[in-house]
Amino acid sequence: MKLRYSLLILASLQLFVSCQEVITVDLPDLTPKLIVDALIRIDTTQSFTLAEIKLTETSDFFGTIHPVSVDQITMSDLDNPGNNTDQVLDETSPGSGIYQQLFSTERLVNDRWFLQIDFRGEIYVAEAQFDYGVPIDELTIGEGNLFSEDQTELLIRYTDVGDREDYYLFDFDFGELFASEDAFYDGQTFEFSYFYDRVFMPQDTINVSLMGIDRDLFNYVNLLRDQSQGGFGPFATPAVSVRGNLINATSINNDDTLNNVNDPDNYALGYFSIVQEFKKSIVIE
Amino acid sequence: MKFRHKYLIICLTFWSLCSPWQVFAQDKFTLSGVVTETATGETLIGVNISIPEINAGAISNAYGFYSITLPGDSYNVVFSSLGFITQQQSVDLTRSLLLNMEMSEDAEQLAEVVIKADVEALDLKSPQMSVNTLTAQTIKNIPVLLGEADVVKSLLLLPGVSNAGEGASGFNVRGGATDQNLILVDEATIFNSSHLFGFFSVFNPDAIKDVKLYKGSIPARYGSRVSSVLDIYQKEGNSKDFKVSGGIGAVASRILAEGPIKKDTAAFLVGARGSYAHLFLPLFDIENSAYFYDLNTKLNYKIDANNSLFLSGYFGRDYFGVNDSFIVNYGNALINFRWNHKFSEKIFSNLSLIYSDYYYGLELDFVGFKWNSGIQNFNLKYDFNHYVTNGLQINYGVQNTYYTFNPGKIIPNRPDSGILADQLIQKYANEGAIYGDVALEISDKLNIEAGLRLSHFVRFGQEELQVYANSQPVVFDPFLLIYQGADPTDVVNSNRSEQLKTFSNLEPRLALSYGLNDDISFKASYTKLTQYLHLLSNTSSPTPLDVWTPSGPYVKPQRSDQYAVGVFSYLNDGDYSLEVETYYKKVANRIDYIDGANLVANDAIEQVILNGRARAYGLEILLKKNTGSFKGWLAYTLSKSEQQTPGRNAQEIGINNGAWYNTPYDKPHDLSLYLSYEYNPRWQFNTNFVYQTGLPTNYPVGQFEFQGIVVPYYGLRNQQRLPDYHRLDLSASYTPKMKAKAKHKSQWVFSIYNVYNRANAASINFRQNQDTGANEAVRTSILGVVPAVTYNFKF
Repeated sequence: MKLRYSLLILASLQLFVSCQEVITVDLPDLTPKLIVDALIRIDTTQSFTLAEIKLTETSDFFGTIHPVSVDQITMSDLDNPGNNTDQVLDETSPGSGIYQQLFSTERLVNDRWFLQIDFRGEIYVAEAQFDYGVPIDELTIGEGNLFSEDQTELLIRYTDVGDREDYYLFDFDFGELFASEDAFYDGQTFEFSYFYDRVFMPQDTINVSLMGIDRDLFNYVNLLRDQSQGGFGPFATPAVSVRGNLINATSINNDDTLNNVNDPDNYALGYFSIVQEFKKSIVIE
Repeated sequence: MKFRHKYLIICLTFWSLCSPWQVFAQDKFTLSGVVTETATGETLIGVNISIPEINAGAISNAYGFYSITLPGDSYNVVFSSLGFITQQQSVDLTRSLLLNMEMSEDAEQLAEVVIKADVEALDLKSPQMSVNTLTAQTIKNIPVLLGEADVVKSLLLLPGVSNAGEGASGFNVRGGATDQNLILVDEATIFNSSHLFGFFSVFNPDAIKDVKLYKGSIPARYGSRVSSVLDIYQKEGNSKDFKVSGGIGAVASRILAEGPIKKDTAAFLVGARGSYAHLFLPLFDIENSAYFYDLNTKLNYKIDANNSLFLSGYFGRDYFGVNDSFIVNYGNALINFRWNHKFSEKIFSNLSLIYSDYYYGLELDFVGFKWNSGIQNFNLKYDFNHYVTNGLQINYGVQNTYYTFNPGKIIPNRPDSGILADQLIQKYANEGAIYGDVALEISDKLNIEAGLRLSHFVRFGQEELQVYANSQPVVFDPFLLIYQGADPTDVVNSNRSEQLKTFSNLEPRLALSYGLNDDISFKASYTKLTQYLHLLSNTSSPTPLDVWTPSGPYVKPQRSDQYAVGVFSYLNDGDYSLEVETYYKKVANRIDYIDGANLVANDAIEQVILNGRARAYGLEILLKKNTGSFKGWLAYTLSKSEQQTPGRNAQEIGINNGAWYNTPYDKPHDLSLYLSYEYNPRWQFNTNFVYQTGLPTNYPVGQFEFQGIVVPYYGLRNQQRLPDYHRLDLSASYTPKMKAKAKHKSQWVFSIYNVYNRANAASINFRQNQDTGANEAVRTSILGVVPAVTYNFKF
């Protein structure tokens, strides 16, 4: 929501009178957790989609994140069970942590899908259903900047579908994600500016994706952004462990008695979602 | 139920004590009057009026009025107050007498401060504890940022008071949150006490007459907030002479004009303050601006000896603009009408009618909208001081406030904006209270003040109220182990006069003092408070975007119980005073937020809040030197402040796995030293030194990456600490010698904030370096060494 953005701006105002310095700190120990990067982006004009899921493991904050290999990872079509649709994803190369498989786009769009990962004796599961998005109408490079000269303004325009609750995820390239909800522009053509904290050279290309997501993923992405940028000083948002939609189903007997309350810290990070993606690129002049 | 009956019995007992057939054989007469300052005619608050030979006394009230009823006899009445020349008057009390007294400032600092013992004796006798009084002069002497005298910054030097760091607005009292302080200016409630993110306070120091901070043992006439009461009275206006005073500083300036409209009868006061640093920013090619201004206006009219009228107004605004694409504008406005009426020489009353408005506006041009939110209230208060006889005073009154909350309105700011106008649902509520308290001298050594406040809160109907299954707006997913907002089952329309929810609470107050000897007394108190309004904020310190929300069907009122005991003494014949207090406070229904709660522009905040509790306890030591050319104090607080939000049943994990965790403003050790040295009538030197444990923070236990974003990953909340905070400030003030006849005075103040330029950590953030891609921990510190010069004038 744009207003969350304003909180970040308010926090940045502190930078006027503040100074920042990199320091060394001793960090507490961690128990490693599995990270499941399973945002399946779908171009509905293609009849087959290559679903790619990246599996990694948490590391110390100052360390490097490494890919992990799991015992098995499958995606099942819940609406078409037993029809040979329990598809195992294959690792592209041993130790890469990247698992891929081709799926029928029509099935991905219309059915509910179930992800299961077997890893080190634990079973992690998640469920997802396709979300529709809208195309990007236009991308333009703007003249403005917010705080400093070293910023680039990108204007993005799109048209929301009226009378339904829509949530959007923007991938502004270079690992910059932004989420928005249509509450204040339902059914309208809407344009806003996104500011990159960098200056681009002529002939640089920016690839932007607009994806339709649901409310839970919208909340998840906002949480990720808060935690990765936070606020400074007194505007710091509380530190939370961002739980995704993966459930530890190891102690499951049947669907009704699953209860992880006694072991709340044993879970996998990341998110499993199937989204419609529209892309557009712009080349800097 | 049993508790209520006990109180009824105690009240009845006190009433029977003062019923007519208890009158002693000797007739009693009342000595009463108003104490004012000689030069200005301003009423003086908290003046000690004592009759040493019979150990009797009284204290002038908020409007300078006092009343003592004594057996008919001859007495020597002594009027004394710190900073004023003591006055004595012989009185033949053969009938009720009106004795007004004028007192002059003790500018010469006479070496022999007369009858100090009696000044302090009254403080020791009074059961009131956990309160600190600051004089306007002290506030002006304390060296602060940019040489701007500041009430809130001065409070931070007292024991039990701290804040969440530089740039944080508000303050924390005895481990309580910033929204738990009741801030009153001339009886009117202020919602935001800071300008420019806490760098300046909203109070013009030139307009201030008296500042009291009640950290505990809060008298029954106050309610509505559970941690403290900051009660500020401003000057009414010089009714003798026209005077102008002001100051020019590096960042802000101020001016105050006051004078009589009709000498000794009517007077006015107008004060203005503003900052102008933003005017210099274009020189540095910075297209941003940040400034504040405020305006204080007062009129008073003394109709006759028994009636006075006061009319005052305040208007303050903060403005931030970043490049015209992001503009923030907020502040308080209030208008206040008061009528003092003396029903008799024993009964003093004050009626206040107040309208106040807190406004917050935001414009984001690059998204295309304007936003505003705010809270308005109409407040009526009728307070009585009834001085029944020497040793028995009763205070009672009624208060009522009607609130309108605008959580937000959004409108497009230009024709091509895609934003749709929307109004978040306005909320309405009414808070009323009736109170009574009795201050009774039981024996020569034992004094008691017992009070009871009954508060009643009504949450009125609103256009749309969302309704949920099982009245649970927050649900817990037992698989994902997260709290989420529930989808409403229905939306109910209700009329503004319907009562959605009402709350009634009894708030007993009890305080006692026991004099161990002439110089030492022991005090104890118990206070129960209820708070019906809550500031929703899940950052370490409130931001201007945070909204106040009333209790209602989904939000319970906060309730606190505070127990405090302490020892108070004067040492070395009053040169020093020592206060040692220990307290324990628990708060029920402290709001906590689900992970990732978005509080901004949220029409259904009930979906993101959970009910928890808080507790705080500590030890406060205050050693003051009151006299001589070296004055000041040393304050040390050892404390703990924590909160807990357990799951609502055995199937839920709560916040932070249901364990107690440090509040974001918990500071176990807090040491403040303030010293003032008067070298000669021309030069005065002041210094502050503070040393505090660093605020709680969170270090990540790991990191993960999702779609290219690197995210730190955390364990339990607030377990780590920022580095300790410490700072030294110095200031020197030079008052040039003026010719005896010169009507104007001037003063130069040279100050240095953070003399040894310590980079105190405001936060430590963990993020990815944009250039190298490596992770790093970044310490942000806000203020380094800041020198400043201020020129103050008076004529």
